[in-house]
Amino acid sequence: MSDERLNTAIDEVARRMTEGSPAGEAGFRRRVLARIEAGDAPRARWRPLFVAVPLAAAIVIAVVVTRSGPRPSGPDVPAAAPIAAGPTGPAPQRAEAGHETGPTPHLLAAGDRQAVRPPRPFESGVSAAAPHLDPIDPIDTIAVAPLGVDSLTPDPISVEPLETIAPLAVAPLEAIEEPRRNE
Amino acid sequence: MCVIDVDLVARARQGDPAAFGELVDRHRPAVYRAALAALGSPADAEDAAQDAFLLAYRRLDSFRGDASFKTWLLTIAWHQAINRRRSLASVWRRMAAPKTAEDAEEAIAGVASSGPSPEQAAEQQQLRRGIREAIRALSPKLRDALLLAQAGDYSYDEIGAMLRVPTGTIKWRVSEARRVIRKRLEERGHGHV
Repeated sequence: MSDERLNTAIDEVARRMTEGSPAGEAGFRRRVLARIEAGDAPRARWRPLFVAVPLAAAIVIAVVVTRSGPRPSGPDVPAAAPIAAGPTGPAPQRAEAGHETGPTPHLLAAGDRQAVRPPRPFESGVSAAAPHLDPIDPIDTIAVAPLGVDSLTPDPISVEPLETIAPLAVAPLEAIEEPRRNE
Repeated sequence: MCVIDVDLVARARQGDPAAFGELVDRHRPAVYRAALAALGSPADAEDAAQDAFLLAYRRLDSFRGDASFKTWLLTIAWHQAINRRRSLASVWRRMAAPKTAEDAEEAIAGVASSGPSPEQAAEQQQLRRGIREAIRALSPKLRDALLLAQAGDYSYDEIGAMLRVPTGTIKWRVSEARRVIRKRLEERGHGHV
């Protein structure tokens, strides 16, 4: 097939690809005028998509995170539950001080941590169904006795006096006359 | 015709809906085909054509008469269609749209214009399908120029105004599009049918 005939075939196919008229040709004018009268804006269907898709994804993620987040699922754990893990230094001190503070979160095992965690503000609906938890009392200040300065005073160090050295007597040297050489 | 268009525009500016309706009727085919060339989907093309007329109505005050109303309108229509083509939704629709309707239409056309033998008819049909695929595979610049040039509604000057490139560039693109398609057809064994 010659180039010319092939070009003709190409043009023919291209023309067919753009053939046609709007469906309901008679109603096209009416539809356009109706949209003008209604103050309709040109449609931009894709723009809501760009907004809706991320928004929907964010909502789904928020719901999933909220529902699968840590919740008290086991038996109730009292606020003064024994410490399961972690260092034991500071906690007994508080107990000795007579404060009912409950264990601090960083001192608890994972399960216990969930049990004593206070409900977050947006979980108000969920917290109503959650087991009752005693509110954590505020921690009072710890009384600390002032340090005794006297106890830190060091003992005096005894120093023996050195022996005095007797002064040396130095006699002045006598002048020695040198012999004359060129005499 | 251009003078009448200008008169209609003046009347439409004064709030005469019938005048603008007349402009819609007059330029509907050209606007629709430009949108179809850009989008390839009749449904999308109709939406884009409606949007183009709406936008043109709102911008009637900006029409200064430097070019013909048709050229001005087609420029708006082309940009509406291109914006739609770039949209994600349109891409999805085109990807999901079955091509069976086009193929069936092509088959009917092939039968209608079939040659003396069924073998020749089948070859012609295969050639047209190959050309169609090659046109779709063109770069957008070449494809747009070729389809608009063959739509029959626009001069090269009008296409140049729509695409905002010189007329000579449009002519080169049409010629280059044909050359690329011929080359692809030859590579597939269609060139010397």
